[in-house]
Amino acid sequence: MPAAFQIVGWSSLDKVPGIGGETIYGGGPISASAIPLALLVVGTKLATGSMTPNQDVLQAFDAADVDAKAGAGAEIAGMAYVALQYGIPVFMAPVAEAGGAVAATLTITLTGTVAAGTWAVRLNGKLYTGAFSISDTLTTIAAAIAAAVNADSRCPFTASSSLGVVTVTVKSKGARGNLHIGIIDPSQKLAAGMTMTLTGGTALTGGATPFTGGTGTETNTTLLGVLFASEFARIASAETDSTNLAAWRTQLDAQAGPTSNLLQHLIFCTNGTLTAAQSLSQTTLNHARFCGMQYLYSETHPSIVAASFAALRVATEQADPDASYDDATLLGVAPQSQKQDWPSYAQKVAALNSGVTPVYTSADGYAKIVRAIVTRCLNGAVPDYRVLDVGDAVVPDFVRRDVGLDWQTSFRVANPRNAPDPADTSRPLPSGVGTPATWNSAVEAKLRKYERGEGFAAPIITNVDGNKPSSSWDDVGKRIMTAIPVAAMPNTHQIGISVRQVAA
Amino acid sequence: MPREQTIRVYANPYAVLDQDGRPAGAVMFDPVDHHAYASDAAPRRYVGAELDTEKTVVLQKAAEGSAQGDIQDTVWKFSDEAVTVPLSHYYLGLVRAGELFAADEDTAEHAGVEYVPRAKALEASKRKALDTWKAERPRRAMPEWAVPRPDGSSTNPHDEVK
Repeated sequence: MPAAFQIVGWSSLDKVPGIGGETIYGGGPISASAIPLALLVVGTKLATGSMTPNQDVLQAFDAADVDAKAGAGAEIAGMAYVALQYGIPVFMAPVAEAGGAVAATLTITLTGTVAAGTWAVRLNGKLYTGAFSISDTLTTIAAAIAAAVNADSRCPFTASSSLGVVTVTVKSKGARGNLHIGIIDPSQKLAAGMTMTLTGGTALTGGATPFTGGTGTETNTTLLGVLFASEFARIASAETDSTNLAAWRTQLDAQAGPTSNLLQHLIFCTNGTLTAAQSLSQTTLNHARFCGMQYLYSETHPSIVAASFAALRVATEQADPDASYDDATLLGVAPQSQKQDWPSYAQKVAALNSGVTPVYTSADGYAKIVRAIVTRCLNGAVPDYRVLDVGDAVVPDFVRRDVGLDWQTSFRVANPRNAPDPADTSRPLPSGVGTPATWNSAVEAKLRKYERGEGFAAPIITNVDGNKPSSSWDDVGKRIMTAIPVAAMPNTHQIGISVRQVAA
Repeated sequence: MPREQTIRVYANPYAVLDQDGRPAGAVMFDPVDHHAYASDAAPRRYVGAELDTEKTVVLQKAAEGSAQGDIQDTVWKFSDEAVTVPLSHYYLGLVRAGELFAADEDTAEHAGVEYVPRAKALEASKRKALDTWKAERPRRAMPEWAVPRPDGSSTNPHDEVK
């Protein structure tokens, strides 16, 4: 007969008649899917924000809170604004700007004779426009453009003007400011003989002009030290240089180790060439916990594109760790205005063959994911697509977390002792003693639930019959060891249709 | 069978610099061009570029089942020869983006870019790559190829432009 349970503080020797009671909260197992996922955004802040870079990690509750903590229009603020649109928990970890960093700029020059018209320029994918009349001068029009930019306090720029020339300056200093792109909007209607010219880096398709002159890239070592003991399900990084990404790779690997169990996935985005994106994905990273996006000449800063997708992943993977993102729309990301920049079929294939998640512009003008994959794609010089979709990388982490929680909150509670399986099965161990066989049954029952999709949007794993868990006894550690093969359920990506006309 | 239309291009080593500033602008052949690859699992081939197998070393071999694939120090070899490739949106896009150089005026016209002789295009690309390098890493040393020898000559083999 099992011993009676005890109420702490009420001894069995107590003789006074009456009731001894207690209330215990939080009993029963916890599922990983019940733990809210959170997003961490990492980028630079402004001096006007209250956070201390390389030190503070704080939740952002709304845009005004972001402004107060990071500074309105800071690089990290732009990431947080877009992420908050998804209604998820967003945390900010500002990294200190590089010492001596210089802000990137773009110059807008007006020339010619003024008559009535409309100016229209897009910065960070956003349209700034205004009308002017014959009574205006180049100087007043330039001042109006600068005022329009400055009135948008959450935009990533400040602007100043003088004698028909507007200088737009990125608020956050550093080389990543050069990834901002400006373009004259087709809705602009200048009077005959009047011109507007953008001057910055080497002009891109359709006259799009990148900012120029931004210098300095921070080192994230100190921040990574601050973050080392913390877990955020998904991380959106503004950093896209090989040095900092390599540091993230080392960090995420170490954090996912057996004694840390901090299971994280990082998302970043570039808006340069596919070759540059491939170099980062397959040479610098080649890692299953990273998703490297490429959106050619994106007018929306790539840090914002990364934050938008990372937030979408948090919102989606809460209910479906095996989610597919084919044709998923990215909130707050401008379409590519130049159709020449839209990726061709071959370019999509090239990206997906080399660990790059391509972003495209749909015919109806939205920025969308082609297919979300991880950067791991090479085994030496040979392609290796055993981990391809982000779900292939996330589902095993989910199972690891969920099965671990089940052990912690259910199995261990019911079995405070453990032991090897009894040699004589006719004499089972007393209750309260877990064994490899009893634990293995519990794990397999879990896997069956995943396979049936219970509690999820759809099944997340497949073929449990062919991938059964196996548990054994570690006689040195006096613990159960379980190997759980997991095959993520393939998502519906393609269909083959052959229609064969036949004579009537 | 009609003959496939082709264009001629050069590799642009400086389209990308690696972490150490070495030229890494290796562009894959069109993945859906079945003349370029025997199968999806075949090793990748690059336009006017190949892995320098003598200098490329695996720094960390991936452990079985780890999230991390092999980490290797990748070194590229680039050819000075023009490469003939199919006339396709894929290659024309690469020429427009400056990841490949047009090797002749016809190719440039197809891509809608101005024809620039290779030596000049290479020089401009080097300058741009160096500007980006300096902007991103103002405190780091210049890439080795950008540091002239005491006699003023370049240390970069890709500068021996024909």
